[in-house]
Amino acid sequence: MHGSFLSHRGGFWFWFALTLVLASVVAYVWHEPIGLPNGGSWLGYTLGTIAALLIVWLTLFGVRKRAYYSRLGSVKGWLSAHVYLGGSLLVLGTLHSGFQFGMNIHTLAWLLMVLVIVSGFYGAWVYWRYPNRITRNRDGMTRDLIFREIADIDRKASLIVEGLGSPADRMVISAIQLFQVGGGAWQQLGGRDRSQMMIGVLKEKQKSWKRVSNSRQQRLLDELTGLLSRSTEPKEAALLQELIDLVSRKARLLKQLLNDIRLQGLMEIWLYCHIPLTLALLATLTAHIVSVFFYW
Amino acid sequence: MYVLIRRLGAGSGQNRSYKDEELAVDQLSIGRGTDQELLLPGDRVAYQHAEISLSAGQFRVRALASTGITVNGRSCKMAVLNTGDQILIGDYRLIVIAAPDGVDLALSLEVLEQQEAFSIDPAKFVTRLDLLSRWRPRRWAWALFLLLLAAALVLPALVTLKPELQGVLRDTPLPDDSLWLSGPLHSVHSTIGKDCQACHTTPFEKVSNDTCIACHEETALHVPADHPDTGMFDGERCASCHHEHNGEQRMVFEDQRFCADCHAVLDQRMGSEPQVGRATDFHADHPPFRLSMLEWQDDSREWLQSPRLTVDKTLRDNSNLKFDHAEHLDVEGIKNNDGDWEVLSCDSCHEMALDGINMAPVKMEQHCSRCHGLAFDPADPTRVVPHGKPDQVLASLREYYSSRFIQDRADAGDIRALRPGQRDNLSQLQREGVAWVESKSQAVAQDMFERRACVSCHEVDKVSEQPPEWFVKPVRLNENWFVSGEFPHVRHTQTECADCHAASQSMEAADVLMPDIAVCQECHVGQQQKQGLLSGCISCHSYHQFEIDHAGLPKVTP
Repeated sequence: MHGSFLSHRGGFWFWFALTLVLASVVAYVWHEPIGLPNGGSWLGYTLGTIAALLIVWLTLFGVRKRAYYSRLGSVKGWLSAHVYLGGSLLVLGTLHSGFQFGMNIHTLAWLLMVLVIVSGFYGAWVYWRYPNRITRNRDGMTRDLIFREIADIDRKASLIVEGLGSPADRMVISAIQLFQVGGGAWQQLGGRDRSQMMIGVLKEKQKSWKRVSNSRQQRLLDELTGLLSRSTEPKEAALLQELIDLVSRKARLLKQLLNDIRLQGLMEIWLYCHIPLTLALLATLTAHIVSVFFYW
Repeated sequence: MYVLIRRLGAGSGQNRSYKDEELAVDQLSIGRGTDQELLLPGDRVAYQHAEISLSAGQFRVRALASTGITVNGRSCKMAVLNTGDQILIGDYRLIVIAAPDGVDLALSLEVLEQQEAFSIDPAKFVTRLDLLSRWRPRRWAWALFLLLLAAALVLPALVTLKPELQGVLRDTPLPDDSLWLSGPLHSVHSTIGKDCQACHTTPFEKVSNDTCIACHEETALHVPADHPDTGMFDGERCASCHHEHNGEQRMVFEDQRFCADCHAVLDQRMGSEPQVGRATDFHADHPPFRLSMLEWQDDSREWLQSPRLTVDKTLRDNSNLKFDHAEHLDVEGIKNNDGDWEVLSCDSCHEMALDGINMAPVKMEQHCSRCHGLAFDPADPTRVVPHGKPDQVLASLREYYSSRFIQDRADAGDIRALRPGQRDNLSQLQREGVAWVESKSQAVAQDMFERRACVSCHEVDKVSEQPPEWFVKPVRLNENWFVSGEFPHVRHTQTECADCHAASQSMEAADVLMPDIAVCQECHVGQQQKQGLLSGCISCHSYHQFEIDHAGLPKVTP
């Protein structure tokens, strides 16, 4: 039963939309309106009516996907039709304009339509490709599990540093305490890590502690490797080696986690454009239709 | 290899319960996947987490999952196993125990207690993970919806619906109905400015003809006002042909289908007999040219312009002129007054009028007199009569011969004095002179009017014998061959005159030198064609053709 919404019912809606697009292109080429091609010829009105009805119907997808008890076709079928008919709208709406553009709400409606469709194409693309990438990136783990693994590593690391003393303990514990995941949209989508840690610095022969970035645990690894290279005591070296192992594993898990957050975010972000732009389009479309008949 | 798995149960030390299980495998795969030899169902265990294999007499454990394994407290990827080694996989602990006989490797397996493995709360270091949780897309989507609805629909509509707000909206940066402009106005309408109501008077109604006619009241009609079928035009809109809001592009579209939709079926559309043939395309479907001729009325001595007549051999031009184009255009030339041979071309006589449409009238003084002198006395070849009415010619002759008579007698010394007491005021000499001047003048005039000068170009009627009186029929060249079409010569200067007018073969002025439609069609094709000089109806015809001021032209007879 599993299959992409793109190939739903053998790509029925793809062929339906393609037929619609080809028919309207053929009609546009064949049609020789008196005067310039425009939305006011019979073909212009036809294309405009079809496009407007399509826009309203495409908007209703938001209603259908929340109507869980609806038996009006499957949501997957609706999504398949939504994607392909939405794509065909790009051609229909543009042909309706007769390629007459200007600084007015008519062109604004066209532009919003294009933006909605482009954001929708992006959405279709991420829905098609990203679930696979997310599964591959997770490698059999869940986000919750990764958190638990990291927590486990942190616990083990904080036990180990008890036998090491300063400055390793201060650095490791601060790295654990100042570790953070998430943040704003840009941090999430950019896969940025704003974690920090404390390092000891000599300032006028006075030792003080300073916060530095510990993005992807790299700084902590560098510091621990430095301590290991200066270590003369085999027991201390063994503990440091173990710490480095743990932190590297944490870094790997973190990379996986940040990737997961980023991919998940990219799968959601387009809806933040798609939905508001859709409503903006509906308002402008209403104004477009009313105004052309208001000043007929 | 044979592997013993000892699953440890409850209890501790020696009393601890266990269950043994023996596996015969090539290598021991460990993971949560159901295809694994040693199934560890915990969720921290990967589907394929690790495997233990035997090579060179040593058992090696190798991590397959990214989370790795811990052997004797050390995270590692790979380790050699000896008895007593501890392997941590997720929340499971495997310990290598001494292998009994018949078994290669023995492992004890126990599940670690949950709180031991998981003591730090992930929530402690996880900050917001809901993308843009503060944004609430639906809320600002609806805000955007209302904002655009107000700016693009409600405020512009108020300009019309609430005239008192017009100034406020149009004179401020607030959105007004200029947002609805589908395209800029043509510059001829730029004075209208932002006043959409100048044409769009009533919302949701098409622009009416009245708003156009309010300014364009002089616009001519397509048919005369007294045409029986003016009802055909009921419901037609100016805006059918004139499209505004396309910027500087022509507001009149040249598309021939504007005309063809009626002119293809005129006989069905009209109640009366159509005066013009069916025409839908200049090249494919256009009747042959018909010509309107000038007709001289001998009775009333006036010109009439005929209706359009079919062109054939019997159609003769009627300009009252005698003219041999072939002779005048002889490549050898033609002899002028001075006896020289002069080669003429079309533009020696025909010059374009200032309007660029027709040719300017040919003038005797300007174009003909260099060759056609009006001298009348061989003894005095420089004396000419004026190119005017017969009366003026006669008067001029009388003046000339009067002076000649006086001069001749003076030269002969024949000046007789009046005797005293003579009562007759008119002397014999005067009577003689009057008779001579009159007979000489009339003889010369008759010679000129009937045999030599005037008749070589003009039609002359002798309307009275005594006193002799002639009538020279006026000459007029037709300037209105095409009643409802216009041929601008100025736009055809790239072609030779002879390409259209076969003047060099014409020996009589009555020959009709107007070209056939096929000549035009050599360059001009209709809009149905793909290439060529695509010419719609309005290339030659005008829709608004009646009541055009044809100043100076004869009245068009119906």
